[in-house]
Amino acid sequence: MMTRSFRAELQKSRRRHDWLVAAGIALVVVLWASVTYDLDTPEELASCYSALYFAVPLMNAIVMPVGMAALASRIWDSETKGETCKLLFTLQSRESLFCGKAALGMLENLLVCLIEVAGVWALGLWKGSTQAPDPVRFGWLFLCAFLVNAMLYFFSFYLSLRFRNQVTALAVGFCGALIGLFAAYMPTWFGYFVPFGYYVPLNGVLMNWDRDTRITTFYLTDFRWWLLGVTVLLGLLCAAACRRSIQTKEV
Amino acid sequence: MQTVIETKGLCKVYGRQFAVDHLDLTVPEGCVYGFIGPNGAGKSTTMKMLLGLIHPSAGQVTLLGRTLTPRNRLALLRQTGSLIESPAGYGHLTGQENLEIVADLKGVPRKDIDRVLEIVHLTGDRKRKVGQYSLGMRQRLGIAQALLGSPKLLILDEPTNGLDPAGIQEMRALIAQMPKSCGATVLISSHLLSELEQIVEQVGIVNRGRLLFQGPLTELQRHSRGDVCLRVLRPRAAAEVLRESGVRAAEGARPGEWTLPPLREELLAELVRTLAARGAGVVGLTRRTKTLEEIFLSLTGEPDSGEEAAV
Repeated sequence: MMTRSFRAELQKSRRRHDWLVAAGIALVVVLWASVTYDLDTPEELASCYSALYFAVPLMNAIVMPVGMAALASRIWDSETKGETCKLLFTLQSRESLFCGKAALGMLENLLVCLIEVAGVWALGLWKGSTQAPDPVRFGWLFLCAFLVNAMLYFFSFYLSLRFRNQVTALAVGFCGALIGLFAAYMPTWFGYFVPFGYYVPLNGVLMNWDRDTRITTFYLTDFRWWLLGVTVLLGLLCAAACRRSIQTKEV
Repeated sequence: MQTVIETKGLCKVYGRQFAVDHLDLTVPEGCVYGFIGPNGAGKSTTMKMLLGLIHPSAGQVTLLGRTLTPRNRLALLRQTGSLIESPAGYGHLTGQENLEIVADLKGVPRKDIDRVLEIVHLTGDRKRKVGQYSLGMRQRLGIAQALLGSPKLLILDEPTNGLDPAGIQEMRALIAQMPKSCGATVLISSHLLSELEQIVEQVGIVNRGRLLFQGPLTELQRHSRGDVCLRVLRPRAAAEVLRESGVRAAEGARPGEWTLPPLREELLAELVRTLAARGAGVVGLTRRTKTLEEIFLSLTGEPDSGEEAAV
């Protein structure tokens, strides 16, 4: 039943251009990150990837809350507009409907993160980075982006389920982006209380900007595994809320 | 004759309000069953409970000979087609693609799509996006979705809602032929008795969640017989005949017009014969059909305009 349900979700996504939207979100992040810092001089190119590891999470904090809300709302909006819940609940279990939508959302999230990581790698090559790409750092970038995106996806999905008007999820996503950006420029501990912007405190790179020399230096730091654990926990809570909302949905 | 749907003491309570109140519904196999009641009577709630879309507060549902439980619900519904309230459809997909999704979820071969499109006359529009369909076409697509897999039972909730007269006629013809063309038993709801009179064999009348009448349409029609409007050329002669016959006739708005109670046809024929013989000059005799509201009153024993007992 789960396979059938997932296949049905893929069929529904036909002509909805979800994949294009997902690719677009990732490309906006990569392109925006590419123009954030000058990467021209030999000194800058020596820390090219570090600069990108730093810039991409910051851009994620701005773009992803809206991007994930857009993806989640598109996935549920077709059921709302088509008034299909009554029909679907007679054809498949509510559990399988939730699983199908969760799987499609995660597949789209996977595409976003893969394009993002591939984009960063390609950008370094294109700029002529003299810093070698670190697979572990790439893996961390991918993992953090995927898990925070997943948490935001399920949060937005929950809003889409609760509110018939899909603008709600998008509006909350937009506000979340602003709060996340604000938190990025506050002390690190403040960012722990703003899940929308978890991309930034999860970032494995620190930046130092010298006012006198006007030189930016990047430092690689340890990974905050505990915060990644919190992200997973929050994501699971949001997913459980979505599942329950579908299970108890009145039609 | 076997029973396809049977409910026993089915209840749905919202707060303190009974939306469905101890409903005992019996739908025999192979018929078109009209489930009639005014808006808010509990028709949709009952149909949703039959499909397991909402949980009954009390009572039991038996579908196709098996008691409906959360465990066997989907297996039973696979032999059932439904259209509840409004037709479902993804506007960005074509009619064909919508049916493919339903067929795959039902586990029905896709070749069945051609058959159902043929039945609902949508073959020519299968490649159009559903967003471009008219309401009538969407309703027919909804019926096509319900028909996929040749279900033994069709549950249709007000399928003619919002259709124009031609669409209503077409939908009626489509539904009327289903027991013969598809071998399906049809449970169809409406708030208009007149809308279903031409296609149903069995009826259930529901009001405020309670079943007021259940049985063959012919039996209901006895209850639905309304007043008779009599028009004559010579009122004085007619008045004499009516007084002698003991019929409680009320004078109409114009001279020579009377409103008679719903008389049995034999008595009415006898009365007309007497009026003619006495030279009253009968020029018009019209039987008015009761509205659904009036039938409710007659079924619940509320005072009516007149009874045959008066004759």
